[in-house]
Amino acid sequence: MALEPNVVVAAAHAAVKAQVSRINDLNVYPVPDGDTGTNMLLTLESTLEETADKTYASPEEASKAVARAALMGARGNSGVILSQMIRGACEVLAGHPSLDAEAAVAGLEGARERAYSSVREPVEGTMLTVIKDSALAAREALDGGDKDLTSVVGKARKAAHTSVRRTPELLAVLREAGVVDAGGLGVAVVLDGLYACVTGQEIEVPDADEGGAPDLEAIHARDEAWGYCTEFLVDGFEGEAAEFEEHIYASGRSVFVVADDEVVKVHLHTQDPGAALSYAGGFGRLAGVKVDDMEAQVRSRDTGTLPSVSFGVVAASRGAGNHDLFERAGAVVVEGGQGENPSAADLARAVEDTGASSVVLLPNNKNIVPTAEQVGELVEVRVHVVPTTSIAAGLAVMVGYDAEGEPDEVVEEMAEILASLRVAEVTRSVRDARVGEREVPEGSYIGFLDGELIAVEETVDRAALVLAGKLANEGADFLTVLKGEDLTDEQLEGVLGGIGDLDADLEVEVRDGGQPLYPLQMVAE
Amino acid sequence: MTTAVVTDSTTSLAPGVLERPDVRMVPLTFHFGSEETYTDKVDMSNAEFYERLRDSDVFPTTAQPAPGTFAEAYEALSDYDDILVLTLSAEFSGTYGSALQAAEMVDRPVHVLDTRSAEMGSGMILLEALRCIDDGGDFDEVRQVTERAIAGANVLFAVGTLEYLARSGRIGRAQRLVGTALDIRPVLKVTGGEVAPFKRTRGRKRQMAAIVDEVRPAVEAGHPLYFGHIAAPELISELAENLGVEEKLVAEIGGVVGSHVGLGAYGVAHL
Repeated sequence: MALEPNVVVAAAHAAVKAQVSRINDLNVYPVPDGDTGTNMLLTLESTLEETADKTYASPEEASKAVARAALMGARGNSGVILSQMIRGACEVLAGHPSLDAEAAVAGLEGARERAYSSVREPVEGTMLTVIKDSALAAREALDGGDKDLTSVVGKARKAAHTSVRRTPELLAVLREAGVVDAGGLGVAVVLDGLYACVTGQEIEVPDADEGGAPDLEAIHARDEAWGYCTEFLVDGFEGEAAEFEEHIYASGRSVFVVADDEVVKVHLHTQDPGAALSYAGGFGRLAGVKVDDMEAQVRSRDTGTLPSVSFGVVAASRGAGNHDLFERAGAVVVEGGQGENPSAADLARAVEDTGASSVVLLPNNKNIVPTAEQVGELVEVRVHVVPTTSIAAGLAVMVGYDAEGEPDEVVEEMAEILASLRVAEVTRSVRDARVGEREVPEGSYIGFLDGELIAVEETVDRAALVLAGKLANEGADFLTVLKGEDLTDEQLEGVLGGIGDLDADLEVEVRDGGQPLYPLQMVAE
Repeated sequence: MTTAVVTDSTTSLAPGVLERPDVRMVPLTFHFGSEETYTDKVDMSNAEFYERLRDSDVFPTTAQPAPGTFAEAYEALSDYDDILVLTLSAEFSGTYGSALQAAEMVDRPVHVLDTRSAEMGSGMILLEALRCIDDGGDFDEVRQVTERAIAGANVLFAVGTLEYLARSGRIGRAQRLVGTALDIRPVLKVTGGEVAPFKRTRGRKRQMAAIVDEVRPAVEAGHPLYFGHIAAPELISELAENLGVEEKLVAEIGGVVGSHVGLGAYGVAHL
């Protein structure tokens, strides 16, 4: 086949894209090199973008262009090494008029060479090992007389996946986390793409037997983040390259210095990114500067876990806004509610996630109340269920929560709030029905007050106003309104205007809850 | 045997009190940014202060009086045998410490008491002390009456927003109210010299109802009420009406306390 490096990159891109989340899930290193899969994908993506729709006079020029594009677009550790592999392969392939078995083997070997030489201290059990093992397998096949391109690439690919499975034997950090190397898997997936390209077949997705999600705790405990992840390009590089490289290598860890004709790409972790940048600025124009505080990112990850409290709250909830409201009030949130009820095990896990010795559970849905009541038997923690049947009621009850309070007293206070609430909800009828004397056509807006159907209307605002009118008549003086995802701002305005007309003294607080199925939930106090 | 009283500017003073020869007020200071310093209730009227508080992006900070200012006040009362000093709660400010240090600077018997309160609370305590003085009580009697008032003082207040309390950082256990998902209108209590949440309510009317419920027994027992507010006289009228009492003692809360509780705050003190 004719040599078109761009087509090979496109195939690699497609393969990585299909596997990106699987690769990301294996990420074991502390941030912020980011997600390995994403970095590799973005590297391939910008390589493609840079070279797409362009025609090159010769394979040599095409190879050169792809290599340069990869170098320019490389992101993160894994992206930089991948770009080096692409570069190494392209350099070799530039001398081959077509892609045959021999060219493929040479390309893999070129990739291996560049990958190893770009890393100051090569570590086995990584992308490097995987490209090395696949190049070796390809070479053995060719030397053994196999001249068939697809067969040779197939063997290289197979060796790559075998190599990925071996990475934990070579690298303790993987072993401890119980995963294979993410970057290594990325390389194997790129070779899947190459194989699909030369055979013209669909990419088959291998079984996910190469390791599960990493144990991040183990990694965090072991692998401390250090300094700032610093990346930049030196464009129009002029000066002593060896001296430059030596200096940069001496100024940090995880260092890559990758030089092209006019551009040098640098990646390092350092405590003093400013010093590295100003040094490099003496050699050319700086571009694509990116500095991330790795320690801060680890810190934020640490503070992301809830502080240990003796008394916690778990709330089942739906909708992004509601999720956020509960979290801000100090609750651990379990997604689930109408139509998607969480299991008792889901709730139990969340109860344990609070780290508290006593936990209030807010089911926030009639169907979850029974499940919630079982949770106490599944966990060591003392569980108190305050049987809220709507998200709005759950939020109102949270007003009584005090993490430092005496659990029994706080639970009593929360239960008292619940007892004082009236809960109103508007949803849509999913089928024609008859409730008591009422005809309820499919698609009509139906309003419930404390679980009792009291409104059947054609529009959401009419149903809401029937409910609000009843609440106002019965002496409510404070109304909390949660806007659901299906309610437009105009509809909300209409409802609020209508409530104002009903009772000007009624105080109303509106929150964008984003819950599905219920355009409006309200509680009156 | 004559007794004079010194207090600081965070004490709500009933009309005419400051005109008495046996009463001195030592002001705290507050600052808008590092450039502007004002003497509480002296350089800027409450009306001006609250206008500033509403419009300014800069949050005012407050500072205790220098010990020297207290010492000057003690010296100025050299005609009296004893001096009783009533300061705002030591939990809120270093004013109590300043007053104590000043007591050591002068060669006079000075007795400093921490009122464990502020504004209408300390104002009420001060009035108890003055009443005893006016009734001819000797220093020990005045002191005993004052200590009883300190121990028996109840102060409840409502804030319009938690924003100021959250920024002040001097709110003790009330800090826990901050960060609630829904707006809450808490009723707070000054207890043990610090601000603690008394009841979490939602909505202005329910907030006032919680105060009414708590204060009603004191009204029924015939105890006088001392009201205080920040730019919200209409809320005091509403509260007094709900309690069925006349608005006799109503003070506007000064800038130092006001900058911590914010516009629209109001409350009541009683024994």
